[in-house]
Amino acid sequence: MIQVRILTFAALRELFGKSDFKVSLPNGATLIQLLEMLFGDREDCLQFLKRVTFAVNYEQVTPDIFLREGDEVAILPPMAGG
Amino acid sequence: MAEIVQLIAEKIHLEPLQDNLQDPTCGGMAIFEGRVRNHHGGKPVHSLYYECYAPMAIKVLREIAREAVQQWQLGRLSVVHRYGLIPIGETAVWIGVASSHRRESFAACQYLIEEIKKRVPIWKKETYQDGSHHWVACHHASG
Repeated sequence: MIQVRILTFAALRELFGKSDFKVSLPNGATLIQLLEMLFGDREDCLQFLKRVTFAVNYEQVTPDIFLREGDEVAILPPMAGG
Repeated sequence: MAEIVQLIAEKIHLEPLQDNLQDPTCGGMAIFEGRVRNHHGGKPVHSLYYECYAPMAIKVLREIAREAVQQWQLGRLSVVHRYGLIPIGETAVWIGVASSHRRESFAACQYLIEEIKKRVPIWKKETYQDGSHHWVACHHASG
């Protein structure tokens, strides 16, 4: 098993109700599997996820990436700085 | 190359940012200042709360700054983005660049603000005068 840290932000953080937590996953798990585990029964969040991007250890990634022990996974709503 | 790139929770003080742009080799300077305005979509805005993913936000800010410096051979650059609760009229983002000629400064300044809006993990929540609030959804939805 591996353990990863999950961060959610802004509207998704409020919708999901959690923002900084750890989860355990099987070795070789992908970000897609993590998302299914977190949001599989949350239709409201699944709708929101269509508009987000992802970062692992501060680098933008695609959801097919394999996760590793200690990764920091950030789920990023559409950005709105400036 | 004198470069200031910051992500801060406090009020932005302009003097050190402006001083950083002084360079006798630079004949052109462009500045963009983004302030919190008092309306959005026809609704009066009371305040704006900026949330950020700080370690990634500063990393991406530095990447964008480096791109601008390299692409337009800037002599000087100051970029600061504020987060937290920002009252109406106060500065949320300040960008200043200096280069040999004006064309490079104009282009770099525009590139910096557009890329910041697209790529830096910062989000803003508007609170309206009637007490309701809303997360601004898209990087291109605001000025």
